[in-house]
Amino acid sequence: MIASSVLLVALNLAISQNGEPQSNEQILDRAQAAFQLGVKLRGTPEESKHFQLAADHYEQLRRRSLQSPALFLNLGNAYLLAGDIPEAILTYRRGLQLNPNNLEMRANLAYARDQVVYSSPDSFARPPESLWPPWLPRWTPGMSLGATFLFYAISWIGLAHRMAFRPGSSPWLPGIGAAGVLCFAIVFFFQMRAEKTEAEHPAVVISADQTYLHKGNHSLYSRAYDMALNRGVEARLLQVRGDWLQIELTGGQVGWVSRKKAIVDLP
Amino acid sequence: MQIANCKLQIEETLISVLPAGRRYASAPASSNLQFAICNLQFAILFALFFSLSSLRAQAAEPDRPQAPLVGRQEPFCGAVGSGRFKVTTTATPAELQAGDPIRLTIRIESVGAWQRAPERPDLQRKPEYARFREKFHVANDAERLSPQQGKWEFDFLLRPKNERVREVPPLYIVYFRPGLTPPEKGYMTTSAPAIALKVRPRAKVAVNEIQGNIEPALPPDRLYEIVTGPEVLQRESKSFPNGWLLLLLVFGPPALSVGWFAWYTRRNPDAARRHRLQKSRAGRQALQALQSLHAAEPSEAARRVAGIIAGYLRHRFNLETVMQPAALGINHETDRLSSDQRTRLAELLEKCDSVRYAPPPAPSHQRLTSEATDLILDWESQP
Repeated sequence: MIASSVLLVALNLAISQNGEPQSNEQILDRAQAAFQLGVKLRGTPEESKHFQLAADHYEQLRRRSLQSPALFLNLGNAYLLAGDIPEAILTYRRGLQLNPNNLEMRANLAYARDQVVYSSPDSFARPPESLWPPWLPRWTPGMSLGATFLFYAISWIGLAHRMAFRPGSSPWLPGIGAAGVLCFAIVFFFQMRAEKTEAEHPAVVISADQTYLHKGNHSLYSRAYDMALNRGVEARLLQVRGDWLQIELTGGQVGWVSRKKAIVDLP
Repeated sequence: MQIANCKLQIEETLISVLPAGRRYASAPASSNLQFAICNLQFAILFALFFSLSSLRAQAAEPDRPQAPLVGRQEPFCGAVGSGRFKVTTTATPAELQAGDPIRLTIRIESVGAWQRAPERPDLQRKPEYARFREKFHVANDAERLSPQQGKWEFDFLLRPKNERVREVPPLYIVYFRPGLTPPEKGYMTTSAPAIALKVRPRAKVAVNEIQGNIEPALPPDRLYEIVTGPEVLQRESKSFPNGWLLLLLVFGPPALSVGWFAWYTRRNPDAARRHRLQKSRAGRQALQALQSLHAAEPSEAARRVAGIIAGYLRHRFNLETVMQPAALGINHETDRLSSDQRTRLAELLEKCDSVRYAPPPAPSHQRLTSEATDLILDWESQP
């Protein structure tokens, strides 16, 4: 009985809208065809429909647990050209988590953020400006781990060299190795802690204009701030209670927002 | 009385100091020091005047009734008076397009005696005036103050944010009337009624009315490019080394280092022994010094070999006596050396002497250097 139910669910998942099972390649072909059609109709009101269709197909692939920076780049572009800024921002952020050094995706995310209309001229609800130079590759946890093991190997090589050739000399090579191991291990630790925090508090993007933060998880609660949030404003999730999300804006402002007015970066 | 005395003192100081300052300033041969003193006196005068004015202000404070902080009601406008205050508002124009400005004038009028004048109602920040900010963009404008007549007028420029705005909200202000007990009962609220407005949507601009040649911002071309091919369908994830790879990374470098060291010592036993035996600083320095003797003259080299050996023994075994070959056999300090080592040392020193004092052409000293090196390595191998 259970096995047949599981089989039925699996079949339902595999069968497409027109009733035919679709492979990933077929969905990808359809997405690319819709996108190319949108490109041909560039500058006309019809283009957004095709880009939305392409985005739907790419989204279908993403829901099949396919994850690649290329897929997220295509999906983000399709969303952005279809006018769905919140989904585009969230998609680019997902892609950058996979590959933080994808410059094209970073530039597109910056363009999408430029399209967001902020209700306040100050820094309220704006994403923080990165001080990292754009030409400098982002230092990822994998790089830190690799550097840690590299310096670990250097310290052992230095130790063997000293024992073989210079028994009484000062251990500068093992010392450099040990210092490198310590430095990069600390960096790796903090990077992993930041990733853990990010996983515990996923990104939230406001999906409706004129959204206000409330002091509680109901619209009857008074507004936490007078300033409204528009589509594309980014925040992070603190907790979920019913249909309401408690979010924290980039400036530390906390409030509740209806789930219908925000999208959450959940797998 | 105290204030009057203080003022008198300041005036006396002024009279006594000012001529002196003028005298310094007008003196033809005044020095920099005199100018500095003059300036210091003027600074003291200014400070005295400021302190006088602050004293007067402090003395005047008790006369004015203070609105109590405890129990203060908002939006308090700062007005204090035993009479009452009346507030009226006017807005012009009453009919406009969304986004166009309305001049809102708030007039606060005192009916009866007043002690503190009202301040401009803070429509831009006070939470009690949030309804204004929801409907309008608020900016302060001119103000006309007539304290003698007990009238204060404050102008604001309000811009309706959309055509759904129907009125300027009613305005509430709070003032304080002293003399009641408890004092917080003296907070009085007065209000002006809402003003009806007719806000039209903004007139749409026809295409032929558009002026200027600013083109709408188009998405950049890179957005219209997508990645094709099998890389789109990959399943990538942030992967870190799994258990086996992690074990390899942790234990690989030490295992490789130890293995290489074992291989090296087996393959090059002499070199390995030599390097291993260089454990004492004295031995290392002596060996380095011996290696540098290749280019020296034979007699000079022999002299230096003897010196190097003596220095090495002095540091390694704390032998204080300068050894002579003939004395080695009876010197009690050399007891720590074995008989074989003593014999070899004596022979080496004798050879050094023979090379040093041999008639020219002097024999080669290379053998001396190698014998000295072997001797030091032999000593170094001792525990």
